[in-house]
Amino acid sequence: MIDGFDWAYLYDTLPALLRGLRTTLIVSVIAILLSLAIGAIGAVMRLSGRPFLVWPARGYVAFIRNTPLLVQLFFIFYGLPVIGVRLSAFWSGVVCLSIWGGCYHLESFRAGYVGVSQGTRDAARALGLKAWQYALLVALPIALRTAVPSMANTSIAMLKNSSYLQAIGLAELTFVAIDRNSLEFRTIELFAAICIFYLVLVLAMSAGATKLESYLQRPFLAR
Amino acid sequence: MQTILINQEILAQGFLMTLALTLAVIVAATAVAVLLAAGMLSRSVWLQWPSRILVEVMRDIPLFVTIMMVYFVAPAVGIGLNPFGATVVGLGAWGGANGAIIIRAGINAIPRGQFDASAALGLHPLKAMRFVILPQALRPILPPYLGLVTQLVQGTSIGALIGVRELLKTAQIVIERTTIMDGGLSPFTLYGVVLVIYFLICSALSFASGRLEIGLGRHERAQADKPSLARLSQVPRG
Repeated sequence: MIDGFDWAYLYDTLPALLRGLRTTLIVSVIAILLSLAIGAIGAVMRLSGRPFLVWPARGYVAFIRNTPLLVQLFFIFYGLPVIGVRLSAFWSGVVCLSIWGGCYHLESFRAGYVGVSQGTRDAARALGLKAWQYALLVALPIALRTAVPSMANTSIAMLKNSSYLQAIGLAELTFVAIDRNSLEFRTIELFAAICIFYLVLVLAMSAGATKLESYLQRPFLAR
Repeated sequence: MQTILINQEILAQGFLMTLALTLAVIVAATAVAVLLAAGMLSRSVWLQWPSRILVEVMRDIPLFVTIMMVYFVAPAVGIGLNPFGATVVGLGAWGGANGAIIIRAGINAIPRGQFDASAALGLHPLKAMRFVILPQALRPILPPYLGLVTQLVQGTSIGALIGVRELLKTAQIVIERTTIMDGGLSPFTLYGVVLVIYFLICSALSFASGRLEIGLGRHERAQADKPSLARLSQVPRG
């Protein structure tokens, strides 16, 4: 089977792979934005101190963390239509990834917020800031500094996990490779190509995250 | 519900297969993790850099792609691997890379003085590792490692896509058989039940990981409110 690496084949397939890459990117970007919103709302619920808000948030995190993404995806794509919720492969993927990522964002937000020191809280109260002013203007910027690294990790994991959507037939990067492979058997070329795509994307995102981190670490006036 | 009772035997087989797969994967991943961690901690540049690059690459390529790649590439280069074997190799490599990071972090957390003291006492490096370093390093290693095991349990579900008859696959088989006579209700109930089963296994493991962290970190209570973030960022997620 090994008959040399076929560059010409790869050149011919590149447009298809790039179309797959585009779908991967679109799904990931929408899902990451949605998951950040879910994480923020969830963290507010979790930190509200009211049992009827805290427990749903806790249950959500525990359930998503302790079940496989693939089964969640099948449940949303094949299971939900049974009770009348019909989503296309694309939106099933987006919804599933956002719910999955949202639970990790929630925990990062929460850990960041809880990590703000008691002294800062006391100072805000002594200055007469209201609870919401403290939360939004004082605690949030500090919390984000601690939360950004793990939020970036989650976002990177979401991009990687968009490959699961191959299983419900969404034509993203991995789908294109497996689909082409079943027709043309250029296994090594195809998988080498998508691995490089994923590697470049992940490394670029990590580099971006490091940049963002160091930007947030600087005090406001120095920006 | 009826569907599940009628098909409980095949589902039970799937469950057992998931457990067998998990055990095989844990063994494979741990072996790979120990080797890679040893490589990364080695003083020889020729061992250090290849293991570092390998770990980085395996962590950056999606788990899903890794397993598919092993399944499709192995026959293409003339290695016969059945679906079970492909899942074990793919998941083992991925788990090994992530486990290596956890082990390295644990050993690096031990103060230099401990290594120097063992050397000064004339302990062979391997003996120092076994009697001085490892007992202390297990404390930072075990809780995140159990978290990794949770991820491995969940990862075995990918085996269903390449034909391992584990829990998810057997649920799919039952769904295919019963959709018509069930009035189309079965995907909802069956995938729901599969979710609950995974939830029970993995939350037991997560609970154990949390207990272990509290139990092992008893003398570091002072910082007890911080480790949750540290743990979250260490446990790999995809």
